Amino acid sequence: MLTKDEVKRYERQISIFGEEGQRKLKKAKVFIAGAGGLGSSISIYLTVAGIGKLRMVDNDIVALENLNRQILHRDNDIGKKKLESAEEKLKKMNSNVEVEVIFETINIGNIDELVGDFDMIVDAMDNFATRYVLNKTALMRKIPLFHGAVHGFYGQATTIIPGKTACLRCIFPEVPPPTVPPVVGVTPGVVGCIQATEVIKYILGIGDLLENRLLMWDGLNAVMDEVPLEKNPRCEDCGKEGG
Amino acid sequence: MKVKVKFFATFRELFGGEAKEVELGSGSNIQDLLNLLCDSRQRRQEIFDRSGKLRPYIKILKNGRDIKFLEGVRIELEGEPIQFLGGIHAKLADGDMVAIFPPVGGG
Repeated sequence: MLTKDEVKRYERQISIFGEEGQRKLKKAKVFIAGAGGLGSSISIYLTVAGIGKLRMVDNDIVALENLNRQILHRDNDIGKKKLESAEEKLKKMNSNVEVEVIFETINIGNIDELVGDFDMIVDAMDNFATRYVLNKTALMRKIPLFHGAVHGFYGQATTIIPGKTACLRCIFPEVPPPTVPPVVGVTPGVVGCIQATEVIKYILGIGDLLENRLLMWDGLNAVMDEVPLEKNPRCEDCGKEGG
Repeated sequence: MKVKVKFFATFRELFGGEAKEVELGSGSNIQDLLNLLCDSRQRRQEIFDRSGKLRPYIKILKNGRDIKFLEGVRIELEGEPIQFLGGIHAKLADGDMVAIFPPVGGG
């Protein structure tokens, strides 16, 4: 049930999807992998939207050079765990949301326990090696994975529904070399908001998801392209001959 | 024949625009197209590794289909494979649209 305060707080969105929709958001448990640039915008918008439970996992400390894009953190958070800073801000934004943080490096050995009984995974990682771990877990549990990534003024997003769409490994079969990509803060802002929009739509069961579609955002030219995706029948993670 | 090439993300800066129309001889394939496009050391380095192979994390679509998915399709002559139709050997035809993507991996 929604409290009186919640009905008031969310009235401008309840007018779109009703109290029933809002109750669906309240029941949802969303796992966010990463508390950096993407993790900031994703968690902020999911918090204010009234998702019931957010679990964030990250292993990093706030540094000065994060602050051009990681809008959860402030000058006086430098040196703190990103999660500590994230938890504090998110709880102040909406005390109705249960925010849980786990300071851990995600790997194939601990991901199962970390995700626990959460309904979906949002990819806010900064490297493909960990993204593949998220992909495998999403496939195994048959829960959606909301992918996002950024570089400079460019970004991309897609929604992976196991059994239905191409998985992350179908789309990007090879790990690119690790880099420290340039990023303007607005780019993870845009891409994280697209991912959060997908999460909300998925929970509500409305609209068209980014299924088998890669959305490519080019902030420099202000152009958004859509690229068709398909399952790789020989995919090592989801193909018939694969996992 | 003419082929339209679309570049994405940082490849727009590398190749100087969002799209290009390229004139190719008939019978050309993706490899020929990339050879023509990579007319500077920087472009070659971004697309090919030192041994001249396409960098494996670069995504290329031909008419909306990943060229990797076309791999392994062969024409056989009396049981002997004579030609790969897929991957970088995928043949191009007039009016084809090729899209090239660099990895985007930051968070």
